[in-house]
Amino acid sequence: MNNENLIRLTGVTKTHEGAGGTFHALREVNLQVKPGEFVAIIGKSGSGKSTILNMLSGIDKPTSGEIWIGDTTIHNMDQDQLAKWRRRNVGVVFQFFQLLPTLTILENVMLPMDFCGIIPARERKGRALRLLEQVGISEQADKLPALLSGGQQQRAAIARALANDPALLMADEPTGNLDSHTSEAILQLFKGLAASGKTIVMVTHERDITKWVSSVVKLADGQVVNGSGLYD
Amino acid sequence: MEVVYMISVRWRKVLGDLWLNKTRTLLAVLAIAIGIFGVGTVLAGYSILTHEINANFLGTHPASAILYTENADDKLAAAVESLPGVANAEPRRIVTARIQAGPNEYRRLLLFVIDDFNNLRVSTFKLERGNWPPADREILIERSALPLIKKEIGDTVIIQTPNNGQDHELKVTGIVHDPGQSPGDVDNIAYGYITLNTLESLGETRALNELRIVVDENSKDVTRITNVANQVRDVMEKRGYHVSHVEIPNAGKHPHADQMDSLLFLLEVFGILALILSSILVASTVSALLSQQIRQIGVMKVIGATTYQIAGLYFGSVLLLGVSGLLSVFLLACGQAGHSRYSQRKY
Ligand SMILES: Nc1ncnc2c1ncn2[C@@H]1O[C@H](COP(=O)(O)OP(=O)(O)OP(=O)(O)O)[C@@H](O)[C@H]1O
Ligand SMILES: [Mg+2]
Repeated sequence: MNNENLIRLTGVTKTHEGAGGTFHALREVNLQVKPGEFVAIIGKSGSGKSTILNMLSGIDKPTSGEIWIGDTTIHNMDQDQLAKWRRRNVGVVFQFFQLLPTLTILENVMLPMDFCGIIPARERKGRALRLLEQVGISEQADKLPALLSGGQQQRAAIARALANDPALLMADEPTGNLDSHTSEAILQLFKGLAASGKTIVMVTHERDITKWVSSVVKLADGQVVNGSGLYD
Repeated sequence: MEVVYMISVRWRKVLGDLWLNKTRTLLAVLAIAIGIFGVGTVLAGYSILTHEINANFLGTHPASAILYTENADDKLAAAVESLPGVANAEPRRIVTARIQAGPNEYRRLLLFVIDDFNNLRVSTFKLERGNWPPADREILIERSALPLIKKEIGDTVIIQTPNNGQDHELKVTGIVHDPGQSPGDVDNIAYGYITLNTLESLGETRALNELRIVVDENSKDVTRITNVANQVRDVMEKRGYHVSHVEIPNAGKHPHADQMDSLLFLLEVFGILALILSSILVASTVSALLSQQIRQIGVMKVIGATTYQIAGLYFGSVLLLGVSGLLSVFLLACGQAGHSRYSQRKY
């Protein structure tokens, strides 16, 4: 087995059955990601970026092909196994933050620890506070999400994704809802996390993404497009 | 702060959501409370009306059959009691009279003539206060008639019997409770209990015209009662008593059983309506909560919640609503208990 790559996709195909016949969201995608890499997935709308990310987070399953994360195959797991695998291994960051509105920032970060039970109850609050400090918003801990700016909310969401200390972070257009200045700060944060050992896969439409990430994967019509001309 | 964290984060979310929609939450609790209260009222109504009143009534040894003759007496009663199938027999007479309730104001009065007040066996009643048995020219009055005739123990009542239509004065010496009679104040009728001597002094012939019997078992089986009653009739006719007719009162049923049934039916309808209404309100509250939180449910699943954990949260909120509803009914019922203890005395 190849221990050099943390993520390996081989021949991953995803089809949707619709009124107009079979639609291919992904066709025979092969992809490898090494531990600690910060990978950007780019491509036009509808090219399959979110589909591939959802496969990696265990939210969606391929129609055919194999997905290896470390020593584990996740393409043949059922919903329950996937949920349990995801708890330990993947943190997810959304475009629209998706903090729960009736919980404080601190409680939002503690919620995954509560659901998963990996972190002992006594340590949860302290850990959540440290994570908020790490993303730079510890002063906002006791506020409700609605009182925070978009950038602050996304920082809180990143802290929440790190709650159970997963090796992988999946982010679908995490800066898609932020101004360019705030976007840079968030990308900087991701870059720092990657440097500290997290493996990050991020779908993005940002220009000049190469200065933040370690590699770029371009998708077109559900296929990985190799070679030059990334931004056409 | 630390105290608050005793509740886990996910339950704080549930509480937060319920608190966020205070009005809706309150409505749901109210709906549950009304539903429980409705059903509770129906159940309580059933248990009180059917069980307690029936027990009261059956405790009076209601007559299974009444045989009408010219002159029923103790000797006849003793002979009939020895027949198979007969548990008790007692001679009686009921005279429909009038009682003065005010100047030129008369009410219907059922006069129960009793041979031996110290040996009641059929259609019994109990003294509530005053003296027992009544002496000659004294009368006991059923308690439900008191508001009707506005008299008390020690007062004199004026009575007219059908035979001569003259006013006769009797002294009220006791108040009885007779569960076998429908409430006098509801039916606008008074009940009095007198001796044979008193009857005679009212200008009526000194005779009892009913033989009331109670069968020894299956007191609700009409065929059996009919058989026993016919046997008793045969024996009576052999002994020279003429039986003009045999009456079988609604077997084992309270005199107001039909009215009670319709009252129960109304209660039932109201209870069921309240329950249906509250169920609809609760269902719509919960479905509103769910549809409002579809996205949140998805997010919770992605950050590690299992389907069971999420189902647990929403069941938990429903349970919380239910318990709150139950608790408010409980408090309401505690307040009611004092009141109903008071109003029960009336019946
Ligand atoms: N459940 C589904 N049923 C049918 N088609 C689907 C389904 N989910 C996704 N698709 C299709 O698959 C294709 C890829 O979708 P995906 O969401 O991965 O695109 P994307 O690259 O993330 O686009 P965007 O940049 O707009 O987010 C799209 O054409 C989409 O319409
Ligand atoms: Mg997408």
